[in-house]
Amino acid sequence: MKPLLEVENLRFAYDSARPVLDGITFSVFDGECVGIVGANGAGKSTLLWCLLGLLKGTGNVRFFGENLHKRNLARVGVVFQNPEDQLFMPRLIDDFTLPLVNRGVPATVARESALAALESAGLRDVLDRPASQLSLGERKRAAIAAALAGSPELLLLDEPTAELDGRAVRQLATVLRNLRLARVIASHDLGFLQGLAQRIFVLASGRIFAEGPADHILSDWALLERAGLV
Amino acid sequence: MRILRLVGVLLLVAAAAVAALIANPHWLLIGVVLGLLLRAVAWRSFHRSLRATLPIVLFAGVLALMQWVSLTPVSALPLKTIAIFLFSTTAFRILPWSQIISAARPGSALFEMVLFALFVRHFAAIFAKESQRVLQARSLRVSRPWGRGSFRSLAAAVAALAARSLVRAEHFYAAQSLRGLAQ
Repeated sequence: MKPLLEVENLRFAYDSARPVLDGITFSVFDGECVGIVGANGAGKSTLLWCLLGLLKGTGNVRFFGENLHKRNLARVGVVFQNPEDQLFMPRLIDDFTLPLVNRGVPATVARESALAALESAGLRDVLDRPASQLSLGERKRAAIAAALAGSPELLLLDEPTAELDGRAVRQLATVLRNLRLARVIASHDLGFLQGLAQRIFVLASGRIFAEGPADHILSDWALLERAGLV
Repeated sequence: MRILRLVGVLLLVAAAAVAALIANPHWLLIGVVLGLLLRAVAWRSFHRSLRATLPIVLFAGVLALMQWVSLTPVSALPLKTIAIFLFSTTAFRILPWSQIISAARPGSALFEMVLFALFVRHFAAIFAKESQRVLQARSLRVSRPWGRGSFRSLAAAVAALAARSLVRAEHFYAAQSLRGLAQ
């Protein structure tokens, strides 16, 4: 099976003496859910930014067997930590349709995709409201649904549970669990990843400190403690 | 309703243009009062509308003060500034953005222009929210606004606001460029 995402020896540093990421290597396959865990400052968000080409690191990052390019980036859905970074239109539905229309999708098709995505996120009733008037939980779900409206093959999420209450976290977990596409979730919320991720990579001091099946990693308290996660 | 809104926008833009051209302080003052009332109606809150106007009033006040200090006659410019701000921000507020961008062809000049205006509008809202947070945080730490260290804390708050705004701008730009909406 060919990986959807291959990362080889990725290195990134703001200051060359202290790399934020060093020798990161991993792959993500179709349909799987991968968790990237790490304490605050471990480099999770930086890793996602490097994968997306927003920060320039050294090493190789390949999406769908090709180097990073606009063409293959269109097949990737991204959900940022703060939904306000993504949703800015006066009506929620426009936040869904606009990127599609801009990509050349006919307006009627874009609207149908948007409505389906809104329905799946349980947000059909609020499609005419701006995202700023929704609760944070709804905005997070909207950001994910907006990313899914473009029918991506891979979904990258940065700290999806940040600032959410327990119920919103559970709702979000249900939404993500029901997806069939490959997901990469950067989070420090171990409870959220339990039962959601199949594989876990533990980041510490910019390196992959440990990796393995989620059950093994998340039950190894000594390892999690050494990585600063508990 | 859409037509009514567009007519309203045209009238407000015309009012802003007239305010830019006239120099009679009495008429400008009437314009400011009218602008305040219209803004309050558009925002559905007089208090909120008035609060959001404070920075521009402060700016206009400094402008008048500088003219007075430099012994030049205080011109109509400060009043003009406030009136134009009030009319143009209200017009910006009531424009039917969704309909305009839906009607525009992707890649066209109109599409890019409306998108840019929406980015600016969104970022202005983020900036306002961040300012409020930073100033609230400062007021919790500084009990006497004009006491010792208050100016230093204000300077630090403004510096923090600049840094936070840059980070937020960077994240917003990154998200939109990934969605194919920013170059």
